[in-house]
Amino acid sequence: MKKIIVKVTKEGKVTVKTEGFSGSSCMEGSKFIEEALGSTSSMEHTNEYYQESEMTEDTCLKQ
Amino acid sequence: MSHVAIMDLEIKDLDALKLACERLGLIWQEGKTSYVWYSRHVGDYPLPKGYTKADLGKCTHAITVPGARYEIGVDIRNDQITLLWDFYSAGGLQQVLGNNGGLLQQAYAIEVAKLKAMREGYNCVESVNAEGEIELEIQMQ
Repeated sequence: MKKIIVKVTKEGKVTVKTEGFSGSSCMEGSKFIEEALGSTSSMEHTNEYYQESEMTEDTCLKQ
Repeated sequence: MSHVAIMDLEIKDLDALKLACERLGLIWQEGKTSYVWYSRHVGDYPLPKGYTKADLGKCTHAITVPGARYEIGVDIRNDQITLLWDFYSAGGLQQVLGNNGGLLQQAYAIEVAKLKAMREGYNCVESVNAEGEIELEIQMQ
């Protein structure tokens, strides 16, 4: 299942995580929430992000 | 998980701000054009961008905070929402809402995310951990 997880501390620090997206589609998938919350101060792509991107690219090349 | 983003929160949605007030038991004062504060800026905190000392105390709406003497001003200029508040300790806002109004920011962030998700037709599941951190899981399928 595709999920967006928004965590907010009592001090108002906001973190947005995505789960279950393939490759870079997470960027588009969570855009509406991130725009509603404000601006992105920093972003980190996980290993999974790159692995999934590579897999997608590999699959495309084989087709 | 594919990416993690840390956000600089901006108050942009009045409906979500009203819901945040409701969640915290704060009283939204529609159309109240002044808010209670020390009435004199002594330079102990920076003014919001584009604001002068003369602008303080005036607002578009106000928020009354039970347990605090001072109020929060909600000022709208050119569609931009600015919260005006005086955190001088005698006013009680910091004691009720935490440093820099953290609890109001937290409630707003959750409410605005929930509103946007529900408008898109997604389910939301909310939970709170022992540290008071709120997690909103938006289920997209």
